[in-house]
Amino acid sequence: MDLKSYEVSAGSFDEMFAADGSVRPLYREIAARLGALGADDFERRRRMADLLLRNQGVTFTVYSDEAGIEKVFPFDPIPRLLAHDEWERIERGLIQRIEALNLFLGDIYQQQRILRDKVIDPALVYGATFFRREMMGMEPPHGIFTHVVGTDLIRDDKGEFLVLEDNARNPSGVSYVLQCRAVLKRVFPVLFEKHGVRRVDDYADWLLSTLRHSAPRGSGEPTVALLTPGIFNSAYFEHSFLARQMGAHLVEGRDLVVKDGAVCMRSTLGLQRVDVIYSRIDDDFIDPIVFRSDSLLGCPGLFASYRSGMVTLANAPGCGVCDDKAIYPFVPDMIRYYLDAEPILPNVPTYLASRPDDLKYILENLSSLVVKQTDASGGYGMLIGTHAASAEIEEFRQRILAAPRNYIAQPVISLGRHPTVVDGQLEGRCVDLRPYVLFGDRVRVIPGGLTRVALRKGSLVVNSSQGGGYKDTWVIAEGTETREKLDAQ
Amino acid sequence: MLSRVADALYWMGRYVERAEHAARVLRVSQGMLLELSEVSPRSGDPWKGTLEALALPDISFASAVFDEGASGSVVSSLYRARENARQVREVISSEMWEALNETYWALKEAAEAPEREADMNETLADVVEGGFAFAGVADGTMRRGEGWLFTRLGQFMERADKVSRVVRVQYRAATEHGDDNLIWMPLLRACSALEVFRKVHGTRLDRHHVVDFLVLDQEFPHTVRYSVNVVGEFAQRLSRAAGERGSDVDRAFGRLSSRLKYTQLADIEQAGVDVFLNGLCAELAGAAMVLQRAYFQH
Repeated sequence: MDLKSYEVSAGSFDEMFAADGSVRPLYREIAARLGALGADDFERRRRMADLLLRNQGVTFTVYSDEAGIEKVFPFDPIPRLLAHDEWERIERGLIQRIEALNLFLGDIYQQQRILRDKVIDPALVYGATFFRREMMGMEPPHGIFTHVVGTDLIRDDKGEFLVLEDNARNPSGVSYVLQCRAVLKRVFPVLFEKHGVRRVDDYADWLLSTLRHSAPRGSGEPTVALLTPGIFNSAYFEHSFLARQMGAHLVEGRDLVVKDGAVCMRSTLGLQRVDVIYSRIDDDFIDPIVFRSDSLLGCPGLFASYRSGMVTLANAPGCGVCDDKAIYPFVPDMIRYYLDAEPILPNVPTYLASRPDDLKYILENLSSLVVKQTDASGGYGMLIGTHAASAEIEEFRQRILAAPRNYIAQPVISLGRHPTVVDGQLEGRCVDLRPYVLFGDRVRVIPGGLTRVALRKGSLVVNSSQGGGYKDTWVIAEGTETREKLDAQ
Repeated sequence: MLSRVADALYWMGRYVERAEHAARVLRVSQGMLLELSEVSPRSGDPWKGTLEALALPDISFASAVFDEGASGSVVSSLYRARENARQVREVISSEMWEALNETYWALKEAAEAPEREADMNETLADVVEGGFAFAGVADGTMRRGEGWLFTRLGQFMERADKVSRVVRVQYRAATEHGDDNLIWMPLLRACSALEVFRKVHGTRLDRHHVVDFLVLDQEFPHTVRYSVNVVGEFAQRLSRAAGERGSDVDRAFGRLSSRLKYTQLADIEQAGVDVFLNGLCAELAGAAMVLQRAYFQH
């Protein structure tokens, strides 16, 4: 691999190279190993990785014509490294955040102290698309609402980690973390030597412990099932992968039936009781009697069974309030309010179009801001003002004016970059980081998480639905050098 | 086990076997068609026989292998096996999925290759080998619980049906045109049975001995009787766990295996091979319905 011709782009943080073009100390070993790999050898191994991923079925389906085309998720073999000191801080920040989010959910669906103390405007909470009034007064086992959170982090131009958004509803992608580590170890074992990379494959055990911990009291050996929309869902691979790794049942709505208030699976031996459902269906669809009546994915009566405490749903319905982009700016306030602590990980500065002052600022600066629809995800419903045509900006202006509650704006952050293989050459591409946090008998964070990379040159959007790929993420174990010390050398 | 999962495992087993069987029959059929100029006029139209044995419509050889739209083609059976497997990936081992997935992709690649006609024999051999790999991996990695039983039930149910069918078709050809090595050798080869047959019956390669062997031999895994025995045994093991629910299934399959146990070649020929095998297949299908009602739909 040729590292010398790599161009470090000015104005953004490059994970591997310092501004003067020298390799950052954390990456020295890996750079040497990459440099020693011949271009042909590298390409051969990269293809091997693709083939392995295809044979393992790590694919998604593109429906461009009648027959769906299966594609392998673009996987970039150059790993992204995190020093243990910077990771330790991220981990503390994430634990703090999931604790605050759970306290917030318990509060808004019960006492509503935070609303009465006027920290957050009730209208913002009740106006959130994913607020579920059906959850009012509900106390899930151990008071835990969101068991699995994926929080998206980015680096700004100074290399500082910022929280971009929380996914407290139904975060996906963790299977790619586990799969791509396994594939990278098989195909590029030489890269790993001497690094002391922290393991990620305890995740399935942790997830199962977390889910079992959430079981209704008195269920003894709880039966855990993962509820999937079915094989046509783009995340189906992940659902079956996690069920397999946990030894849990993978069920669809049609496999479930409510009998005497309990949720049961139709099995070859008759009906079998389920205690915990890890739901990978949007809460809109879980029960046609309570939520969307046109849903064929859920199970009628499921929600009543949940409310009576006969079965646990993870994550709880209604967690999506935390994913609302107009609630996101208040997470630092939640941390101060519930935990009496300062946030460890800062947010991206955010303007709420529902505040008159902010609205004025947003409308005057549309061409230099990123505007986001508060209930959208996956890189949709977004305006990147610096890259947008004036017609598009005008369209967003009208949309914001029509429904200010539904929009926020943020400054354009120059996202951190990482060397990535493009046509056999290394080029800098924008990356983010999505660690997965589990809230059970204790809080556990997968070391590293999913590094998504925007494969299109200059693109700021890393979502797989928008042409993104991913990388393996290495947290270097303690005992090896810290980023601070390394950078001081 | 979930009923839906049991259902998918059963059909995965059936479709893998169906794809493998089609590949076996097509492979020997190709060998035969290559020498067609030497074929004695007595053997009829061998391609028509092949299509009938595989329950395929009137299509070309390449379509019988590569046409996804033709139900019963090698690729369509493999595709369905894979779709069923995809629904139960959390129940089967990763290795089973990979074996099946690799076979599927290899066939898809072969279908796109410019040399696909010339490489046909190798392509079909790969599918047969993929079937072996799948069965071997299943054998080595699956717990002998319900999942295993449903998978193997599907596989041997399909085998009993398909071997009966191909024997019936070839027997008719032999009756119409007289015995011919050109009819019986490919058939035995398609069942990987030629060498074993020689050991048991030597050179007596005629319709009586072939039917006796492929229908009634109880030691060779590619015969009707062996397959029905496996199905009967597995149905019994399932019903032990399922109690009342499984007793109808046990009875339906048990009746079939005991019928074959007390049948001799003379009985079959007296009833007529066609009639006998037809009746057997109908009874098999009936038993499959009972199985479906007991375990998959309730």
